[in-house]
Amino acid sequence: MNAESKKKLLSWLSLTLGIALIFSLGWGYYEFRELKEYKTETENQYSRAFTDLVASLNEVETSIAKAKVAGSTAQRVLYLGETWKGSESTVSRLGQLPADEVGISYVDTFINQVGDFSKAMTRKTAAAAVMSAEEQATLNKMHERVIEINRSVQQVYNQFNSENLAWVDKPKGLLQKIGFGKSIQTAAQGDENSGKTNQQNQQAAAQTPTSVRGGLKQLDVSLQKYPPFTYQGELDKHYVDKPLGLPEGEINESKAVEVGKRFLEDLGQTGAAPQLSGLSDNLLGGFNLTYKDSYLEVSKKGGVVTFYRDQRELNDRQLDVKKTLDSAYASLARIGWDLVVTSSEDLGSYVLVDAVPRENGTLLYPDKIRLTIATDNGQIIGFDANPYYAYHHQRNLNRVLTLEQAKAKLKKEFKIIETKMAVISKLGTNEAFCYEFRGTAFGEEYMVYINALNGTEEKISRVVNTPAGKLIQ
Amino acid sequence: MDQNSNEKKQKKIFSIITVSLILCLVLSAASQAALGDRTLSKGSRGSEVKALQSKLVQLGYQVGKVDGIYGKSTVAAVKRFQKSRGLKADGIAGDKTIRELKRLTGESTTSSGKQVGFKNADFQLLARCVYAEGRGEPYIGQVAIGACIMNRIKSSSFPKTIAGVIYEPKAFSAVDDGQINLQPDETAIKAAREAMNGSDPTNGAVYYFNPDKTTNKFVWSRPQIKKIGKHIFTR
Repeated sequence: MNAESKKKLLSWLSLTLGIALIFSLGWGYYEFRELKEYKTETENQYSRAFTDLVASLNEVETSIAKAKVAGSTAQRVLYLGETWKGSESTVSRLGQLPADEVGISYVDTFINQVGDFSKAMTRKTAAAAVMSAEEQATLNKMHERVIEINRSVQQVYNQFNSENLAWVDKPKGLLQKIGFGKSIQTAAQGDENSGKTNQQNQQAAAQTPTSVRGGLKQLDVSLQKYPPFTYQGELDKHYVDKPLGLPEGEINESKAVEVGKRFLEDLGQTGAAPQLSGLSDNLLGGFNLTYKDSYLEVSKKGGVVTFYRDQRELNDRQLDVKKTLDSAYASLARIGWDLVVTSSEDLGSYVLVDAVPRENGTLLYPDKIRLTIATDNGQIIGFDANPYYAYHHQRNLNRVLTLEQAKAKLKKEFKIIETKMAVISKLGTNEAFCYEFRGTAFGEEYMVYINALNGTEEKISRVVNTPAGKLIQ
Repeated sequence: MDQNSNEKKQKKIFSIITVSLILCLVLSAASQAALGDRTLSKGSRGSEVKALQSKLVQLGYQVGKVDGIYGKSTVAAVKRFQKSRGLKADGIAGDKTIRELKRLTGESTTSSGKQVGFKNADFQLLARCVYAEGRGEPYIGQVAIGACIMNRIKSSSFPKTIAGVIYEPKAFSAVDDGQINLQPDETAIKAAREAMNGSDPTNGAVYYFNPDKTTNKFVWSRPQIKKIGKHIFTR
């Protein structure tokens, strides 16, 4: 190759490389711009959520202050209601802020409790009842804590506005990992994940936060030192501490297998041989059994089946809703249950059913049993008796109000279709013994519950016809 | 001059009438082809297919683009719908299938027949989350994931709506990596429905994790309730 052609090749090569370089630079710049746009868009959403959070928290603080002093029922209900709704919106904003890991947020928990408590108190006050001295004290204590949180959050917000604070603490960069650069010890690194003691956590809390999330975590740490509130509310009732309905006595593994075998056979799986597949650590369970596609749980205390699910493939539908329910009643009788179906949802290959037991004709709604029934052969393929064993107990069902007295409590537009007696669940684990009136008003169907002891209107349900069946809202 | 413009005007009016007549004809022809008039199957096209597709989507059976073309994905969606409804799963939208589809996608009504909208708006998000987080798990494990989300709503430490819980940052890995946008299958839809209805195989769990993949100390520190499939469920 002579010098001339070498030169030619070189110039061609550099030209191509040059073009490639310019092209990639342009492309990189374009991507950079694009990314920046997305980032701005996301961060704007975060800023919006944060600003809304600050505003709604401030409203909560103001509403509690007013609720504390309100003398009339009307004013008290108004401000407690505002506190309740404001807390909900605060928690929803909190959940929109970026986070760097999972964990329990005490800020969330506390604000949720404020909402829950004010909801319970709104209802109580609206029912013309007076808040007890204890409840008044709880409200005062909550207010003090809300003031503290409000001030801390506002501080972080100011810092965020003036110092352009990051949303989350960045993980250590490569340089810092290999020993270069200063690593900043943030509060975020001092939470429960790293197993530090509480004291160290509180030391970390004294530093100024380096990110919004870090600031919220410091607030978390400062909230942790307070004792929890005790009050009757709706939250944290997704499991029961003490099941009321389990029979006495404890059973062992072989007895559990025996119970499971009988249950499966009664539901049509002849020759079933369930095997222990695991243990569960909760009061309503104990032994987890499996057999073919079936999974069931037998309680250690009392030795009863609390949960059952057949996960088999379902075949083409053969039965309509009525025939399916008839077949379910027959199966229930075989496993020793006398229940009334209170609602059913037709989902094609299966029907979802809520069924409740009766005591002297009174429907016991808290003790319900959820059933799933296949429409190919009418077998029960799902059975959830957890609510029954959690809440079933001997109740005092003596009414004070006569039927006529209860009827007098209804709005005059309400036309009664059917009257029953029922126990319904109220806030927390409370219950009410009621007259259940099913009827129509304003072209809609409703269920109205009038307390059979004191005549309070306890609950109103609206009945809506959905494509799958009646929905009780 | 005056006459000329009059003639023009007449012409104009005439042409407007012709155009609107043609439009009317076309529109009435199109609206006559309503869903349920004929059996639809692979290769069918038109507004009826479009109606079929949007009804499937409404129930959570994704068909890709609602384009009025009965293609592969529509066949698959119809088959899944038929399977879950206890109908013969042949992928052909015949009389029975379309009737069932129409029944289920109807609006809810009050006792006097007034329409009040649909009642399953946030259910689809729950189904997507159950699918993204729990596919490959046994059915009961998928119900358990749905139940966990429902339990969070009832717990004091989490937001109070389905979307609030699911989209909470770092709450679910399937949300962070975009798997939440996958189409849920029939099992996940069923499981989500059961969980939303209140069924809870976890006895009140609010966290779960895969012990083989998780090193996060926080979830390991929570009181464990039980293991279902690959997941350990905790308080």
